[in-house]
Amino acid sequence: MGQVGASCTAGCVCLSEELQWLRSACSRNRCRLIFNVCKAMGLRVPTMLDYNACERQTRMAIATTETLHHDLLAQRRDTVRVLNYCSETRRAFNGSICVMAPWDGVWIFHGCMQGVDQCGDFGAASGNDHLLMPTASPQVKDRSTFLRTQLTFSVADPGQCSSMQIWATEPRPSHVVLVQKAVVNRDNDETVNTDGLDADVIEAFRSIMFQQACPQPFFVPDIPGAIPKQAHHHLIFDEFVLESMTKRGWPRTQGMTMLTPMACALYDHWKNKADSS
Amino acid sequence: MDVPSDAPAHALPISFNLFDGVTVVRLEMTEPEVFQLMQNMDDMKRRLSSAVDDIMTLDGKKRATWARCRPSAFPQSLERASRDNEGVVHFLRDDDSAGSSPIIDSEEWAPELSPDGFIGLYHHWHRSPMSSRLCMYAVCQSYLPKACLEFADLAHQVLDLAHQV
Repeated sequence: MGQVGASCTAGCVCLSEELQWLRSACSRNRCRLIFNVCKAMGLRVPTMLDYNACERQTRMAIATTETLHHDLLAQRRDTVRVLNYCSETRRAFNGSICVMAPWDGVWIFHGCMQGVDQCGDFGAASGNDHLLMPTASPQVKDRSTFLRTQLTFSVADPGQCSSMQIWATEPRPSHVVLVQKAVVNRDNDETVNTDGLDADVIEAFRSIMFQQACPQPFFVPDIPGAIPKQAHHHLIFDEFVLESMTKRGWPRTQGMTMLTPMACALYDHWKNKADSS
Repeated sequence: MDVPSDAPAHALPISFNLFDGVTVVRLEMTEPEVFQLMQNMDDMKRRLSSAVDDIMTLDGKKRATWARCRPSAFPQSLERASRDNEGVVHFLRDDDSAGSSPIIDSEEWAPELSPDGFIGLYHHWHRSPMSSRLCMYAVCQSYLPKACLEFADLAHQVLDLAHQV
């Protein structure tokens, strides 16, 4: 890319070997991380040799499924598609992953389940239709962030990110989690029932909420300019949202798999620990 | 966002966290083993934290960078590039040369957890009329921060070159 300079086009970048290597390397990075962690913890994980590694004996985990938050794809009509926090179902080889709020775990929306193992496979593309699925539960911090969120997706074709616009176009109080500073006060553990939940995840949740929470209960309002600063919202996939996704083509009868967190190590945990030591 | 393939490269909004994604791996653990782990959650969290600490305390030289680790050999598309009388560069499309040779890292690199990334252990009860089973999963969200940032910078340099031309 650097050698050809101004002659380099979007199509060249999208199809370039350099870009394919970066996509592959990021994927292999995740598989290597999982392999290393499982090996250190003594957990059995399916593995394979990393054939693209310089060191030929490098091993990595075999991915059951994978979804990218950001991607560039070459289209048939001589276009390059930019995907941000959504994925194409026709590219999904085993369900479509959506990362929810930390305490909600990870959801995998199923595709067509014909002829697959019900206990491990999540289905291929959603039938014959091409759909775009969200890859993460959107977060809104305050008005400015809300605008930035809209801006992020405003560069996309409305149809392309329609799944994400469910919340932007049809907000209502039940779409948001109420957060109040008093509720997330880390010194007051009795205000939140954490029975049966992962302590690390709850701690991460409280830490984030405490930093971002608003002083008063807060809803996404329909009045422009009415959103106070420092508000933080995790948008949730409730019945209304799932129904909206169904109307847009997601075969809800195929179902979804909700992975429940047992233990989770966040980058922020390690960073804070490293900084303090 | 759809960008025409023949648009200048700088028309692509390449972010610093391009190819950030999530990978799910189903572990080969039996139900009794999963139950045993669930009964010792504190120990599991401690070991997970320790494992991530060990991974993240990597040698700086081994960190994956685009400049150091990308494939060293030129792709066929560049080997066959040519400039015509009007100064326009023509080269073989990389998809035409795909599969001609494996894309091998030029140097070794160590895996790392990116900012906003996480790695966790999850479980799920799979229920179906035929069978029900408790499965354990490892989930990782990450990308290669330095390599992706370098690539984004390179894209911006292409923009600068385009302006100079």
